[in-house]
Amino acid sequence: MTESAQLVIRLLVDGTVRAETRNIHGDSCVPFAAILEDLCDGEAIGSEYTHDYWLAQEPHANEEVVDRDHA
Amino acid sequence: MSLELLLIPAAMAAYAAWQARADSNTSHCEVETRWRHSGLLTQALHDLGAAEISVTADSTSATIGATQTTFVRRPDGIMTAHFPLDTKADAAIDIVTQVDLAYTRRVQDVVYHRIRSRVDELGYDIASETVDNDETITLVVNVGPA
Repeated sequence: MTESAQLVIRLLVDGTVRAETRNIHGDSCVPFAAILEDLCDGEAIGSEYTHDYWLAQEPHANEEVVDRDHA
Repeated sequence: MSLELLLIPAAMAAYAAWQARADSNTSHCEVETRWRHSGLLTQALHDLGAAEISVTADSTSATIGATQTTFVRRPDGIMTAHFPLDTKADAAIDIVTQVDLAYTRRVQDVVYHRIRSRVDELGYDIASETVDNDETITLVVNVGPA
């Protein structure tokens, strides 16, 4: 069964929002940064691509794929 | 997951980290805040039980405990708290920190309702909603097939 693409949004009591995409791999996740800014009426001041993003990329010859989760 | 974001709602200054600091000398005592929204500030002051709350276009005044405070909007939209000259810096910081806690809870509430509304408008749906022990609200939103 295909898992649904999801946004996981955490609203902290300090007013900040931490959000992540789930089951959205590679460049498909990029537009969701703007969607999350819209949903929260906010501005993204930090972002990070995680393990699944890099797994979905086609590595070019002689290009190192960096696992940011464990770098 | 593939993308993680830290977002700052529009009602707050986009600081990655914020801590109240007093600028206190013989001519003034003031504390910079991270607040932009005077309506939310007024609600936060009511939540704290502040008295004599009055609002103008560019400032909000209130008595918090025994201290009269005026929050003045700077040209960049962020508010600065101004205290009577005899206010000690630590007391001023303590008051701003109290108001900040109430303010950010109001921000959390506003953003929660904003997300619920926009999710409907965008044709998404809420898969789950939970509240943690630290009062963090977690919303999982279905946005389509993977």
